[in-house]
Amino acid sequence: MRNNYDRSLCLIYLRPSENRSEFEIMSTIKWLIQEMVKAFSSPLSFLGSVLDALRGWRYSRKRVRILLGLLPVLLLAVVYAGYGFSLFERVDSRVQKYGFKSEAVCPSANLEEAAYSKLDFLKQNIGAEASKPLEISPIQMRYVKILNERILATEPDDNSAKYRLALSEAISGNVDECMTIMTDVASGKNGPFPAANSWIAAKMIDDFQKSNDNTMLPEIATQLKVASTWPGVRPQMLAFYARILASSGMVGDAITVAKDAVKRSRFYHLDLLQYYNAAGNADGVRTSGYEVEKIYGARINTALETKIDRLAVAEARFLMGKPDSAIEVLREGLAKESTTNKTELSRALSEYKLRQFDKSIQRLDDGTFIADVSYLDDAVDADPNNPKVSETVARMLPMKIRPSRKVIAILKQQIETGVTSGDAHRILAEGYYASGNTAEAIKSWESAISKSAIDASSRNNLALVLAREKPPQLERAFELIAEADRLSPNSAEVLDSYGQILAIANKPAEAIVKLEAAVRLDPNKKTTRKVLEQCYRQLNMIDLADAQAAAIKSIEDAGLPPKSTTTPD
Amino acid sequence: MSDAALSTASAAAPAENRTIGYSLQGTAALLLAISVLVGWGFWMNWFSKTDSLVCSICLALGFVIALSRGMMTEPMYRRTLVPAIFLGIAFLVLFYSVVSGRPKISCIAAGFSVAGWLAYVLRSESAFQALSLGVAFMVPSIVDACEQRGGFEFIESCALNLTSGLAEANSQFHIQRDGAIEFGHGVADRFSSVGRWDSILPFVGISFFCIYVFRRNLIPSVLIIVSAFLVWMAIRATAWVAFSWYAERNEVWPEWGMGMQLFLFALGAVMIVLLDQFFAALFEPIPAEFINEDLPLAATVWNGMVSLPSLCFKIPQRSFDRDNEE
Repeated sequence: MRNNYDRSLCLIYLRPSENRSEFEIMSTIKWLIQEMVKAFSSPLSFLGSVLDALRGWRYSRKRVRILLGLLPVLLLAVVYAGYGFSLFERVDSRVQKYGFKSEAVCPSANLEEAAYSKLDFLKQNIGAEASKPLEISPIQMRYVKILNERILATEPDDNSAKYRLALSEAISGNVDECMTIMTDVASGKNGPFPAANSWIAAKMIDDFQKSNDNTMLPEIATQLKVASTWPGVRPQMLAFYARILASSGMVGDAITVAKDAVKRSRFYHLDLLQYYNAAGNADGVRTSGYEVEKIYGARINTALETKIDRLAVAEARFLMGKPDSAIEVLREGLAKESTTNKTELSRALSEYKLRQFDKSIQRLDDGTFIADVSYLDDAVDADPNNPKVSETVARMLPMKIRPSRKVIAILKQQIETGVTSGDAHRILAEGYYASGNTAEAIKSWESAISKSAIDASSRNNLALVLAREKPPQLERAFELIAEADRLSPNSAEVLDSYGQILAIANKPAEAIVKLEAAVRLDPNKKTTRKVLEQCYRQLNMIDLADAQAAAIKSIEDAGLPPKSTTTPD
Repeated sequence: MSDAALSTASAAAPAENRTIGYSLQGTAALLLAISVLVGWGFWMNWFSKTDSLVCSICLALGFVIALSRGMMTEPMYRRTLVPAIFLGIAFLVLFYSVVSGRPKISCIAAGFSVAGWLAYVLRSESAFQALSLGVAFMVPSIVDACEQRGGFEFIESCALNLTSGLAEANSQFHIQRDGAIEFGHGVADRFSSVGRWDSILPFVGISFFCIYVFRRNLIPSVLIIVSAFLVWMAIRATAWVAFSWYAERNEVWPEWGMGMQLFLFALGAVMIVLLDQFFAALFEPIPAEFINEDLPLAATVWNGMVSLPSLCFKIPQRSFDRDNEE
């Protein structure tokens, strides 16, 4: 049977059949080649056989079976196709869709507004009433979270989704989670995103205003530098940045930043005016001064008048060289019964008088000073509790300008009532010390220290003076200088005093360590080198002592000044 | 050599052939017993979960029906090489399972033992049919391997994707309750991919049931297993939207009970069976009367394609003509 049906046997191999008992590969290949040759040599006939096969396929199907089977296929097609094939959708288009939807439900600007309005710092709106917090409905919040979490599920590096999520966390009160996400975005690992830096800066400023921790300022400045490139940054933040810059001596940069703040809110012309004044830019002062008068002055004596208006106008007039006019505005305000901020106006009036007094100080050819003391009297009249009065009087001490009896009485009263600032006591102490009154100087330094926990200078000076007393009060001196060293680390002044005190205490080896550190920081300070030389000699380190002596001589020959000095010689 | 000739030859088989047969079956039984013992803990764990149990019941039903439709009468089929190979593999896998201390792998050994046994016992059936029946014992191990490699998590995420897409298409369904807003019904989340009796595993069991009972070839078998996943996801997503829509209209979430679970599961099962019929109808071979005897290439290639690898041969039909010839 097999011999007679060679071809059909090959068919049996390809077509499963019960008849096959062994594989006949060679005859199968032979048959296949024959069939291929036939198909190629007679393509039309082959086409006919294909049509036959198709017809056979069609006639051999059971239609009911196929139609029944088509039902679930159609249902599946409806589910998968009818609902938008979201399973097969491209990730980027999904991200875009969720992004648009989230933005449409609750715009980022609203989220920002609501999140920023939670910060007390931004509630203080210069020149306007405090803004009310913007509320976002819980439905919107939930929707925003869902959509952005969905974006992040497919695109974990999407900065804007992270940012919106962080804002929604901030609005919900989850500050820690918000800061974690914001820090991640602000790190710039997925590209720059200054809006996140802006939020971090705003939060830090808010914390700074509550804690008053100066160590936060460099980080705030770093964040604000990036944030200032963002168009949505709040003007209050720019103004804060400008203040940091100005206090670091970068008045030019402060002016640029303040100009940016002015673009966002014209009320910041007041800040700009002060920076122009600090930079000595008369044109700038005039332009900004007029703007301030225009903006704030328009509200004076109207129902819209706010507490800051008169102060701003007075400041503008004073800086524009019209002190009388400035004082006039303040006096007008003080005369009005409806004024609620009389204390602030009288303090401002007092300070303008003090500034006029400062301007009136003149140095004569014989080295003496003269000044118009009546301004000081006026300042005291305007506000007897102004601590700046005592500071000014303290500064007058070495100039040997005698204030009036009234002023002296006020000074005594301020010292008794404790109104005087730590700065005033410090200046007073330095004045007493310069005039040879060491006992009074020590008293004033003690007062300065008790008033200011961060005054390193007074601690440094008092420590040195106490160590030089006869007999030396070394225990208290060491205590003070250690505090000064902690408050102002790596200061040449403090290290120098520390070294001197150690030398007085007859600890030359320890003194050398401090003095060498001081010399490294300020190589031109002769007093330090002189004490150092003595210490070397005390320990028989002649070569080093000679080297110091040579260095002192070369400094004297070159006439090099030390970097700074506030320590009594 | 015809089937009849084979039968005659078997009947006249010498005594040593019978001995080989008994030793093969004995070895298979021993290996199966050891595999089950080695993987006892794993099997117990497998049967402790509802979805695995339902899946196993579907598999067992299909297995029993497939066996009852096979031929296991004396005299035995003379095939010895293929059963020996399967049993050899079973031994190696079992050895590896014991040595590596992974009882899960003993399921594979059990599957090969059964395949080896059936390859010898099933008369006139292909070796692939025996192997496909042996796969029934391997399913727990394969499922566990998929689970450990996050396969089900992936499917779950696909289903979630689809569900969220559906929710997206139909806007976010929600109701307000006690001043709070609640999104979606979460029916979809009740359809877990593993761990519940209405999870994906019973649907896979139903697919295997169809393959065994309706004797499917490779292409329809693969398609029906894939469609089990697609059906599961579609049912889950559609249920999510349907119930959420109902909830939004009536401002109350529908009660989730056994009746609803049964309904959805039955719906899925019916869909899978219908799809199986559909695929099988599409991929049926062309009958011989429609094959052009002069140019049979196209039809033969199609027939070869849809029956390869020949997992299930046709049940042999006795040819009266051939009987007459003999």
